[in-house]
Amino acid sequence: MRIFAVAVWTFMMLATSYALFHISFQVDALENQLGSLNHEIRSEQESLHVLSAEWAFLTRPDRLEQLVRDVLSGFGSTKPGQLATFDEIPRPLPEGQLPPGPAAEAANPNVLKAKARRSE
Amino acid sequence: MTPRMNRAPCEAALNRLARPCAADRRPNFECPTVRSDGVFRVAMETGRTRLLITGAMMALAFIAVAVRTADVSVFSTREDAGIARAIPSAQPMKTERADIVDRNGVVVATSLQTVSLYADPRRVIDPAEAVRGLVSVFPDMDPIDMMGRITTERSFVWIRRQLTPEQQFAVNRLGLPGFEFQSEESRVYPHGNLLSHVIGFTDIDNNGISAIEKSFDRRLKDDVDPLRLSVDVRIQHMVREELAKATKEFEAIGGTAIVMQAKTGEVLSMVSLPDFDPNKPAQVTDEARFNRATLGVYELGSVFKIFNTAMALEYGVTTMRGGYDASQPIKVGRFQINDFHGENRYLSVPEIFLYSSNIGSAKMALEVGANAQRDFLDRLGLLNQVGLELPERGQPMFPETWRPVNVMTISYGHGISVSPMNLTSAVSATVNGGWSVRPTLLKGDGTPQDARRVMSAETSHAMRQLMRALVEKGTGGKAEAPGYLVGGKTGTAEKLSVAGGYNRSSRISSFVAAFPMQSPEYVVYVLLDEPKGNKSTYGFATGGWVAAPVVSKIISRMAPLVGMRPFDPETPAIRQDLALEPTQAEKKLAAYRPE
Repeated sequence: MRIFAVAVWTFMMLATSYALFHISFQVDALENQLGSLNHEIRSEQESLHVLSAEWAFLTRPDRLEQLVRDVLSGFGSTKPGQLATFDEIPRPLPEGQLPPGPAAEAANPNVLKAKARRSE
Repeated sequence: MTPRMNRAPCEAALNRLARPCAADRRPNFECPTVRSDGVFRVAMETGRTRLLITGAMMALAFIAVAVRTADVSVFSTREDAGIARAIPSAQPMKTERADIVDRNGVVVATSLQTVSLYADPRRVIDPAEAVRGLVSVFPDMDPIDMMGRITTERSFVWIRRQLTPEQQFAVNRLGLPGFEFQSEESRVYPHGNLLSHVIGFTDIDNNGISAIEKSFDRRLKDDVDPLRLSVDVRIQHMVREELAKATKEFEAIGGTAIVMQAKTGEVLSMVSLPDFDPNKPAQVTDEARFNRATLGVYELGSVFKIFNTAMALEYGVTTMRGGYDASQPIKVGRFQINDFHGENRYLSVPEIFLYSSNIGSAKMALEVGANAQRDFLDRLGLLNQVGLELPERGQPMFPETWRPVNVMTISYGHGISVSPMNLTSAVSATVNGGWSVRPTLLKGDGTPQDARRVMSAETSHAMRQLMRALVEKGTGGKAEAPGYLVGGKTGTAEKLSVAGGYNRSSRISSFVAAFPMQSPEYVVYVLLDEPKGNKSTYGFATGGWVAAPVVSKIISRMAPLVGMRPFDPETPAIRQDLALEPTQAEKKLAAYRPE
């Protein structure tokens, strides 16, 4: 009985100390990782900052305009006539309906009949 | 009492205990106890009690530790958690000076890390060799001056501020003892010249010394959030490009252009030419640094007839159907008021505006009177420094005592000098329904700042009709941008010559416009300083010839950009809103001068 108790206690002690040290080392490792991650974040922020300045420099309106002139022939600034609202864009017709015109007339025999009557 | 005599009870006791003892397999400690004498037993009892107490105390101690452990690990509060935070945390990056961005968030000024080179002259071993090496990296460096600087007794001298990474690498490779790098922040303006007079620049120690950098110096140093301007870099680019073209074409010594939101006072663009590159503050000349839009005050000429006509209508001295005799020049002492586009007849109020009659305007102003005129111009903000967030603001100049001759000349914009920003803001108030709004370079929430009513909505409406008519069929035709219902007024003023009097060949030619005129959103002002006429303008260098086309180009380029659709001027609602009633001048002329 006593041996059993001693064994249990010893085991528990070992287990606890193992767990304790294990966790402690894990925390150390995580802290290191966090530290280096934060360091990385910091340097990423710095490069983002530099890159945002460079982006602003590279997207200067005069430079973009020059690039468009050099590379995209046929492009230019927006003309007043090129503006439209969504209401002005034709909406798609419901399924199965044909746009008005010869095709619709051909598909609808009534129209043909009506036409025939009119021509009589 | 002998041991023998006690044996029997002990045997009996042993017999009673034999079974449990055997079953227990432990060495039987109780038997000797039973056998021992009283003293021994007492000692054992004491020991046992002590053991019990010690055990209990140990147990208590362990329980205390356990409870504390549970408390710390399970029920820990936030304050306790802070103790373990010695790791560098990921804070948002902070620069010495906050960024400045345009109204759409485009970075227009930022701070970047750069390195600067300094020396500790006491540690420099071979100055001659050091200077040779440095000159090979910085060819523009003066070797004799540098030699003097690194052979002093001081312990710190700057060698060169803000090195490029390549220069830093080259200096590092020289391996000179006594030379060190220091990390510094330097201000960078990615757009170069584009916003020079809006943003200004900083000195080498990052203190703002002009424009926004100066007026918001504290704010930029204290707050990390970017400062958002009302300026749109795209519109600024268009305006600058068109203005620069016109300045070059008409060989003007300078020019300025402003685009303002009529209803909020937000400045979308402010250009003053010549300008400078704020990245190279050492090369900025005084001429380039001068902000013609806000610091320069000029006699702006006929554009003032906008305010004169509005004033006469507002005070009720005349109506849109009224008129004045403009057939004879006005003589005041040895001074004579003439009309540039002389009609030499009776003119209706709209005609006085459309033909830009100085004589008619002067008569109108005389009827209003000096005090009322002064009061009206004051309400429009034309007698005070403009309330813009810039340190460079010119004080308008006008006569101390406002005599009748001043009343007359001021009616057509002479004898009073205001900055172009003053004028733009006053025109905004005239066309936006009569609300004076404070001009601003910061992006707001779309609601005007401290708007005050300065004229009635009816007067503002009449002025919109007049300004539209001037572009539709008057002297401002070149400002028209099809579909955008431009309205405006030309202005040409001769500059005062150094010798005294006006100089006929050096002018300030300008055009102020608003669009779309049925409900103006934007006011555009373009001014050219001393333009010269050329073949394309038949030698004219007046506002209608040199500045109006710039206005037209600016409007037709910026309107699609801000998403404004062209309007059909023939729409009944627009027609009715902007059409002038036919003028009655002919009839009155007959009544006035019977022939």
